[in-house]
Amino acid sequence: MCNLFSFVKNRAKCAKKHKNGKRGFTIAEAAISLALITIVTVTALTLFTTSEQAAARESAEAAALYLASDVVECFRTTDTLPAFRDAADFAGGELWGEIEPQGDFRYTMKHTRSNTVVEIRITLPEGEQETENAVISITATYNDHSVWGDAITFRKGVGA
Amino acid sequence: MKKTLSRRGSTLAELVVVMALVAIVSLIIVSFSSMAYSFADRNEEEYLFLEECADAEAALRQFVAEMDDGTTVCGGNYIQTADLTKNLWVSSATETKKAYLEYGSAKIEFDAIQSVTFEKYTANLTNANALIRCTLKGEGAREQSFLLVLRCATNGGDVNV
Repeated sequence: MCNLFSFVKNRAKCAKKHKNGKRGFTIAEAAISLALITIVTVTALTLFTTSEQAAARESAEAAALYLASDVVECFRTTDTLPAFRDAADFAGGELWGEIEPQGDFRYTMKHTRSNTVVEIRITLPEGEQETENAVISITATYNDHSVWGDAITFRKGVGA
Repeated sequence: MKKTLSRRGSTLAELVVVMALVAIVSLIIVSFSSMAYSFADRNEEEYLFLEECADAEAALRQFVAEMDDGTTVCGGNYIQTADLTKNLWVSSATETKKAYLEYGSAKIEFDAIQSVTFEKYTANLTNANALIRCTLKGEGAREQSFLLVLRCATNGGDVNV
């Protein structure tokens, strides 16, 4: 067999074999070339999409962090749950909240820019009731993985 | 001694095939280059916007904390104390100038942020607090917003929700 590699290695022998100077590509050479082209293409496409996704994730996580911080401020500056909910709605624009049966206050934000959902969950130990020195935990979740979490002690109407 | 030379030109078919292959490869390279450029460009703008948002947030928090004397009022593009001694102005980008933020002698220009707007909220907040939602917009649909807390004068401010 006189393929590309052996041709380079033993040029004279190959030239003798192919006296008319014609030499095509073997199937193996073509397959290797196609495989290389495919690998390069797929790698490049993967890199592009990965970097795009990383940028989108970074943006959504930044939004989640801002929102989590805003929700803390809303909680600090309000006395009652309705007031807190109104303030939090103001903070997020397109947010909606719902109280779960367990007493957790779940706050959800739909991040409209990239159409991803950033979820803020606030856990109030006494449900809707106001308590002094309540410890609330706040987590920001994006695509089902936590990007930020904190627990703060809060005295209603006084500040953190 | 007779020397035989193996001279053979390319046929038209071979030339056409080679040219077609070269054209296809060139097309792939060009489209890949433009795709890579647009990806890189978009990502760079995204990260620049996020970076500027973080800087703007830090600066705004610092400036607003200095102005937080209980008499602060807020409009769509300004926050100022009632006695007008401290002013924070923001200006949106136009064709000829970039968006900027001005506080006293400090002026911060933005590259990726196109506009900054303030919106005030005071309903049912404790201790006459006020929340100011600061919205930063970039090119396209890029947008981030965060809250600043103020003890604004209850009767002050031009913008209310």
